[in-house]
Amino acid sequence: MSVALIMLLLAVLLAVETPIAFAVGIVAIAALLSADIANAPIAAQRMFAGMNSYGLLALPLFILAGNVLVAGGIIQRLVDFVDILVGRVRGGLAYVNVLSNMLMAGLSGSATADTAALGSVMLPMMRARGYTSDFAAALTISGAIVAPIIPPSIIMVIYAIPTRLSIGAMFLAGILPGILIIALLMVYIGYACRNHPIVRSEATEKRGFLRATLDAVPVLVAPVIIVGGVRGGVFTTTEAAAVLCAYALFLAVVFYRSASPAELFKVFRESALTTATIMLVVATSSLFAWFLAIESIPDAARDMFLALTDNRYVFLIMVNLFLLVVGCFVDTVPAILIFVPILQPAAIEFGIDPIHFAVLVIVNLMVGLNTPPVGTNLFVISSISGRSIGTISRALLPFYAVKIVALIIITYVPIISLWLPRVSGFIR
Amino acid sequence: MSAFRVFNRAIDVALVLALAVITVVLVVQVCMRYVFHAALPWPEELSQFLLVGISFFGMYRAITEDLHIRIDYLPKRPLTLRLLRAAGLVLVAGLLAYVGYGGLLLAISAWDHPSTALRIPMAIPYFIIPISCALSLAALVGAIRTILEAPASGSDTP
Repeated sequence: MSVALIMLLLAVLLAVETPIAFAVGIVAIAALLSADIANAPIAAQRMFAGMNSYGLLALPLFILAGNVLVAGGIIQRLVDFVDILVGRVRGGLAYVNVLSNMLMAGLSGSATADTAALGSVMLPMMRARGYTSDFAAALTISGAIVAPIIPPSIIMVIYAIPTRLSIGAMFLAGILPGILIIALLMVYIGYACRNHPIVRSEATEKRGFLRATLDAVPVLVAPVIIVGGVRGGVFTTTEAAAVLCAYALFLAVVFYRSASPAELFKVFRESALTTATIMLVVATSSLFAWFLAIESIPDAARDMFLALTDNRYVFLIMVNLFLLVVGCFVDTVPAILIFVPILQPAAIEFGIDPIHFAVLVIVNLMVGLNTPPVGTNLFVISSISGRSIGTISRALLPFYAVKIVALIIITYVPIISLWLPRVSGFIR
Repeated sequence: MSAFRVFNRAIDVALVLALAVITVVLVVQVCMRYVFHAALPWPEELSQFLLVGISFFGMYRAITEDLHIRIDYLPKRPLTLRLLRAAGLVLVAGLLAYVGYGGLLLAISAWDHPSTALRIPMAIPYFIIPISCALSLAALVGAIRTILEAPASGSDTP
């Protein structure tokens, strides 16, 4: 079965709303059957082996830690802390929104979880202080894209499966690009909110700087555990995830006493189901990878790119455009598991560092997370804000421009991604 | 509460316990490694098997609750579109039957293969595959039936 036919079958299955994990498995088995190399026990064994990985244990743990922190009410503490710091200036709450997104990104690895958690806190606050719902919604999901870019990142744990890259190196590589995106968003806020009146919440004012800081410090320590532990070589990523989980449970249950046993059961159950839906994509993608390897498709893709151009910048533009389109239609996890094994050999051939390539692929796909028709975050914020996808999409237009500028800088200035992993000795 | 609900609730409890055990044993392992300098041989393998269990049994629960990641933009009522969606799920059933059958053969052949650390027969973790696939097939039949039954008017998403 030709690759074109395989991709067509995949597109048709996705179009009729077949869950993507199964759609990928169906096309992989169909391709293997048509090549007469399919074997049911081996297929089952490959799916099992695809899931049975020490590195992947970080996935449920990061998901759980993020969910426990959200259920433990840490968002309000973070928001209050940032509000005390920057709420005073013009457009203050917009800055609070993106900076809280950045701090949340240091605790949670999922843009969708951050959108849901932060959106439900920030949107009512922003509306009350005179911001339009559409602007607040667009801003929240634009800031949330840094969640998988700033460590910890569920997407980076997934990215390490087909590429065997160091998750620690990727974690460090994501920090500066994430901060760059936030900085550019803040520049845009300065422009967009230039006529916005300065409004302060008296409730926050009364609590005072010291109280808000003391309340937030235990939460702010968490990212230090992950980045510090992994950077110093103290923990593996999976161990860092386990320690983060234990710390999150300590904060929610013992320190803040903000999560009841019933809530914890719900959080554990939701985390397990989220894990399962992602892991199933991982498992069926391992069937797809089997097909790719047998048909030597990554080599063919590399040769095709080399035939098209010998210029790395032209290659990068092609990758950028391709992934922007892919990001609009395919969810991030399957997009990475399907396309990265195909694109990475070509990127290496063009002399692009695989860690830098990982960051630009993830940033690229994150832009797609906010675009219809398959923009998961767009649906989440639409249901929280009660605004239609169409009106939020219009409000998002200037934010797309900001994110495209960030993507161009991150793509063409590799040192932004590579400096931290280099000085930490992860890569040369 | 129907037997079906009780069963699903039991699966949920098992999923929660599995995730809790993963968290606890890995934290214990970190303590053993860095505090007592005596890492245990089994926590990683146990956690990985539990993760496989969460993934496969979670697959079943995610079918019953329609949580699997998919594009969701088609109108819900036109018959042709419902037939197409159902056809997609029939193919999913084919995939699960294939993988479940493969998993059954794999498990049967692995009674004598002990796992590396826990030394349990590999058949035990491998049996997760056929059992969860059989459950998922049953859940898919329900999902296909729900799609084919005409939805009540007004349930269409704009």
